[in-house]
Amino acid sequence: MRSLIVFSDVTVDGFMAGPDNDLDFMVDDPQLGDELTSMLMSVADTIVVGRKAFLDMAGYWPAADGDVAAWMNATPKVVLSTGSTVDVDVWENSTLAPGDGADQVRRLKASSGGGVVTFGGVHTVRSLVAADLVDEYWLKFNPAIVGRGGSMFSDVVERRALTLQSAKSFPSGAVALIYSTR
Amino acid sequence: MRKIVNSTFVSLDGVINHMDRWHFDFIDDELEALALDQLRDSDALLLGRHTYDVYASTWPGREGELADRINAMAKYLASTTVQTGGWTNTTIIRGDLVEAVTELKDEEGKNILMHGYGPVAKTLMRNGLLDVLCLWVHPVLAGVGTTDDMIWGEDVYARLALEDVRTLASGIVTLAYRAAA
Repeated sequence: MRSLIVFSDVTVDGFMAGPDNDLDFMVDDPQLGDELTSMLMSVADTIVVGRKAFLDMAGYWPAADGDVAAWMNATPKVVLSTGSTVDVDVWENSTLAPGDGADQVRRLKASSGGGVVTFGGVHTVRSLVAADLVDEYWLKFNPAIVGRGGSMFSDVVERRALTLQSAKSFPSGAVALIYSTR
Repeated sequence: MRKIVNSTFVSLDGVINHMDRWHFDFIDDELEALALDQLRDSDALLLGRHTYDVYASTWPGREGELADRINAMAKYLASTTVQTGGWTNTTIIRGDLVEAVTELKDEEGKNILMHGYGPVAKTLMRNGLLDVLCLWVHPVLAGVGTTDDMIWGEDVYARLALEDVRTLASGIVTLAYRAAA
C-alpha cells in the first residue's frame, strides 16, 4: 500500500488557508524548504491535486527553474475533479481522475509505486483527511495566527491518534512537524 | 512590566475544550514538570470563566507541588456574570478587561500565567496584551466540538516570533511564541 503524504503550510492556529483563502501568513524559509522538499522528492513519485490547486500550480511550475521545479514537472500528477472537466494538457505528466476523489486515491494507494503527496487545495485535503486516507502529515507551522480560514481537519468527527515523527525549528520561526497516522 | 503568558493545551486539529476526550492520556511527569516551571515563574493566574470553573472544581482536592502552588497563588477570574469565585485567593475582574489587565501588567511581580485560550485570551490577543503564547500541540485529532471549542477566533490576527520548541516523550510539542510587540 502506497503512503499518502499531506505536505502543507499551516498557521499556528491550524489553517492551511487564511480568511480570504490567502497564504499571506507564509514566511519564506529556504532552509526548511530545501530540507523538506529533498526528503519529499526521495519518497514520493506521484502528486495528487484538486482541480483549482492544479490550475494554480500549472500557472507557476512549468516556467520555474531549479531541482524542485524539475521534479514537480516530471512527476506524474493525478488531478481530482468531481464535476468540472479540466484541461490537464496545460501541465506535462498530468492525468484527470474524475468522480469521487477519495475513491480515486484509494485505488491509487492500492496500486504499485512510491509515496503519493498532496499539496492541496483545502477542500481536496479535507476530504482525503475525512476519508482517513492520509498516512503522514508534513506540516510547516508558520509563526502567525489568523483567527479563521480553511482547516484540513474540519470534517474529522472522531478521535484519531497520531505519532510524532519529528519536530524541527528553523531560522524564520517556522517549525516542521511530521506526524504519521498509523 | 509583567508579562501575560498564555499556556494552552491544543490538539493538532485545534480543539482546546473537551479535554477528557483527548488530553488526559498525555499527562506524565515531564508535562507536569514543565507546567510547574511555568507556575514557578508566575505569581498570578488569569482565567476565563470556563477554565476557572473546571479548575475550581478539581484543584482544591489535589495534593503535590503543582496543586499547592495553583491553589495558593493569586487568581484573577475575568467574568462579567460571576458574583463570587469560591476558590482561595480569587479576585473577579468585572469591569473592562483590557483596562484591568493593563493595570495588572503595570504592577510589580512575576509573570501572570493564563491557562486556556477562550474568549478572554482572544480579547487580550486582539488588544496586544498577550506577551507569550505557549501551545502544547498534542499528537491527536480530537474530532470533537464546535467553533467555540477551537483555538480559532474572529479578528484574531498576529505575527508571532518563535521563542522555544520542545518535544516531549509523549509526542506533545510545545511551541512558545512572543506575541505582543
